[in-house]
Amino acid sequence: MKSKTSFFNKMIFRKDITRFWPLWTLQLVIGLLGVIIPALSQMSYINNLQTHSAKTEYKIDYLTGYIQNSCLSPYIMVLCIVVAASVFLYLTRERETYTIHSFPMKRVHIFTSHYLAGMVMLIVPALIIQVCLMLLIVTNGVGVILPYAGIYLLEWILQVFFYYNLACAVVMVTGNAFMNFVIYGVLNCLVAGVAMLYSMLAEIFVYGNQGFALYDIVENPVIRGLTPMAFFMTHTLRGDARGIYTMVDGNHAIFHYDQLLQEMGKTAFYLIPAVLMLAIAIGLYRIRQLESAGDTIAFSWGRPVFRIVFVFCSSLLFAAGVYAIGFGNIINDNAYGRKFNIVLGLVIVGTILFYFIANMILDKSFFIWKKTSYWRMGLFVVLMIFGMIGVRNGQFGSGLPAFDKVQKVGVSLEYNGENSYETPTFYLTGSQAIRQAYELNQDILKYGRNIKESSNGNQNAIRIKYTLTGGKERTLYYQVEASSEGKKIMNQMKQFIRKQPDMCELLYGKGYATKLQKAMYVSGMSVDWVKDGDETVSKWLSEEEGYPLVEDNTDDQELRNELYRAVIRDIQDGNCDLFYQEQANSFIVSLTDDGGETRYQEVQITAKCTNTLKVIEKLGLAKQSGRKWETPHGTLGETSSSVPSGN
Amino acid sequence: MIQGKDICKRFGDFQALDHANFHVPKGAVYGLVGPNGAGKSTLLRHVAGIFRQDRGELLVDGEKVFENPAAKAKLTFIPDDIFYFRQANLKEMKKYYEGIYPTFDTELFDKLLECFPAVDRKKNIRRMSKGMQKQAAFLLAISCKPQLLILDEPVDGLDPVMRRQIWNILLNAVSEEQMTVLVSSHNLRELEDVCDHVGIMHKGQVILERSLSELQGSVTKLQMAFEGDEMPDITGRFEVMNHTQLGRVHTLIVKGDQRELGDYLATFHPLVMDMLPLTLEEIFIYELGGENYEVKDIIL
Repeated sequence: MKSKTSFFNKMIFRKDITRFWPLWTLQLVIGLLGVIIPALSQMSYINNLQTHSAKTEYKIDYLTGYIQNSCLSPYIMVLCIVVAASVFLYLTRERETYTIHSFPMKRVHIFTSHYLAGMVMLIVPALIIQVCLMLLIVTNGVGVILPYAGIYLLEWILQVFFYYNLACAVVMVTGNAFMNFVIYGVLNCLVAGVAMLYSMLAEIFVYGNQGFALYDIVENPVIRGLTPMAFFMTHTLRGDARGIYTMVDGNHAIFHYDQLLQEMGKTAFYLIPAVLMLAIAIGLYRIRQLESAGDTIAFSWGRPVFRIVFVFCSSLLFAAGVYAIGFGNIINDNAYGRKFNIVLGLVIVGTILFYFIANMILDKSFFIWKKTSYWRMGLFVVLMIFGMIGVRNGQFGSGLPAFDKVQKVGVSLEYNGENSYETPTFYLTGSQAIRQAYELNQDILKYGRNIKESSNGNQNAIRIKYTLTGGKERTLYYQVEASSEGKKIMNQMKQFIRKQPDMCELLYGKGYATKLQKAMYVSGMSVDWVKDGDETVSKWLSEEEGYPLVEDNTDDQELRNELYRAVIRDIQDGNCDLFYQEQANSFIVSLTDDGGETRYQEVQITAKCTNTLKVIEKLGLAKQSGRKWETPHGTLGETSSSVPSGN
Repeated sequence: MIQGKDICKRFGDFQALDHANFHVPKGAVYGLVGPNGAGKSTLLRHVAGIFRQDRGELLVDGEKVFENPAAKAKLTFIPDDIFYFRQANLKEMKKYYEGIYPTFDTELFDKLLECFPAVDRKKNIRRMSKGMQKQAAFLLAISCKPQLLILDEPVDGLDPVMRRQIWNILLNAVSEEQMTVLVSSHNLRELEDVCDHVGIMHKGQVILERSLSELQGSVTKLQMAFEGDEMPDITGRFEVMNHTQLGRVHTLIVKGDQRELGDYLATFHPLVMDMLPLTLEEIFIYELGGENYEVKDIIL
């Protein structure tokens, strides 16, 4: 008997479209209310303006914004899981799934029918909205941005293709409607989330681990690439459209589509995982056991995977959360051993607790005590303990990097007292210097392991930045107690830097003497407290106070060069206080070259820096008076209030 | 029509089907009976191509049924809990079935609709009573003109008149179209009226499978009285499934050929001997009693 069914079933397709009409209707309504109507209203307002010299620019500015708004990544992401969960909702309901699968159709045909219906529900409303927007563009005489709208439409389709395929794969993994959303959400940020959790915990108890910043985590291209939500949300296509077009005059614009297309290329890269997700979704659907309808995980092999991911993430989150709430303010010191013990205890408790919870979720029952495999749970706890010890001991990228991979070491010292300050970063590139710095770093670690309790004094810090082969960087930040032992560590590092033969090279890199100083400026300031009436304040030089070197002003290039040469001379002569120990009424000269090597470095100009001060005098920011130098805030080198001890 | 060999299915720790063997002849009305949890619905879902067996082979009309649209096009399945799309009425469901089943007969549907006057084709099916929904399901299923109709607890919720009506339609299709019906039910009296073959399931196995007449002929209920209180021992020759005594009257349920049993017992010159036909329900109870199935409370 010949079956009516082909690669997809028209009836199922039609039924989905009509059955889930609220989904595509809602999209249309959102598009109309969020994009078309405001755009119409704005265009009408601009057209009615009596006098406006650049109406076209005004229109382009608004319309490009509306085009961007029509393609918001988080919105697409949510939409895709809602649509996928809806068209495959029957898989979560026994009654429905049994009936549908008793029909004479292959599973792949059922899948294709539902999949295409969902895709149409996602694409067609977007198309309608874009067509309306394009009509608006044309009727308002700004046809130049039509390709811009086209690119965003393509971007929408590409993102839909990825997010929707991922959503379909997720739907095939679980048999529970709620879990569709949970697993999809977690998958979209799992890598960045785990990296964040890891950093949070490592920060608590690993000596030298720098405080985590979500931005830094997402900046990592691998983490960002594996976190689609972060990738699409930080996509430069989301940036200001004004960067990609220039107005020739008030009524003509030239668009630079190469940049946009380049960004599109990045999105297109997601086509590969998108196709893979689709293949996975079809494959899973073909082997799916239908009796799994309603189950948290539809495949027996998926249950341990779910359990591992759930317990791992939850226990770390639990430990970090409970530590922050219960211990964060109590143990605010460098007692890393104590911190580690507490976190380890919390991780063990969390692992056991969430192992049970994972089983409850999987078995949909509270009474899982007899079913739980205690030896597996024990094994998991042991693995977590080993993992934590590994993190503490510097495995998994939380400790010193391998010496043979180190290309460059940057060291800076941070002093905290009544006035906090940090030295410039000294970059060591010679192999011997790197080795010595590495050995000193090992000494710091030995010191850190022996800290039992924090002293009540102010903590100083040493920041060591390793540049590794391949351009990777690892920054370690060691808080050092204001104890005698701590001071000894700080002094050791300071002496080591002082012994280096060429301080200028440490600060500005090799070939510093010939580098062009493009954006050099005197950020004239007083780090010291200055009496201002009854108050003591920190004063900075500003343009109003006669600050003459404006960044990027090419007219000042000769002056910049002169200043730079003077600073170099003073550093070489040992006149500058590179360790920032003399605070009063000083100038800081920042030097920035355009080579990308260096950077923004600050050095303090003391009264001894006569070469530099003579140039600064030319700028009108200092005046020699006998052996002293007067600055807008007082006499250089004289304290108006307390001076930090210098530790 | 259906041939099942060593079918096994496990749901987690639970063995739902354990080497189930059964055979349904073409044109038969095959009743699948068994206690709750015996695996009847699971077996039917395998036959309908919904579940894939872990082991064993299942053929419908000589073809594997799982993921085989050609084989599945020959059958329709009415589960115990019927599904209809939300907001759908019978007219829309008919359209849907038309688009799914290549053999759907619109004329037959219209004709059958007359037999179910209470079913309103424009009313949302989900708002109908359970009985009405069942009627709608039969209407749609029979209109597909299947060679095999699989029914899981089919007439639950139907009034007696409608039950009779539906069975008449089904039996008519069986006789005219050679349709095979595989039905599971707890209503043994009803099955006894319509089935010609019966399979008894217990703990995932089909423990007994016969034609109904053969089954009823193979188990006999005897009521006898002898001179004394004692009766002769027949256990060496026949399998006595149950023996009760009230005064001098012995009641026995005995497996074996009825005529041979009568001839043998006559040699003991009983004062009274009655051979009574056994209902399907009695066979079910005594068969499963032998399988350690706790039926005592039910009998009491």
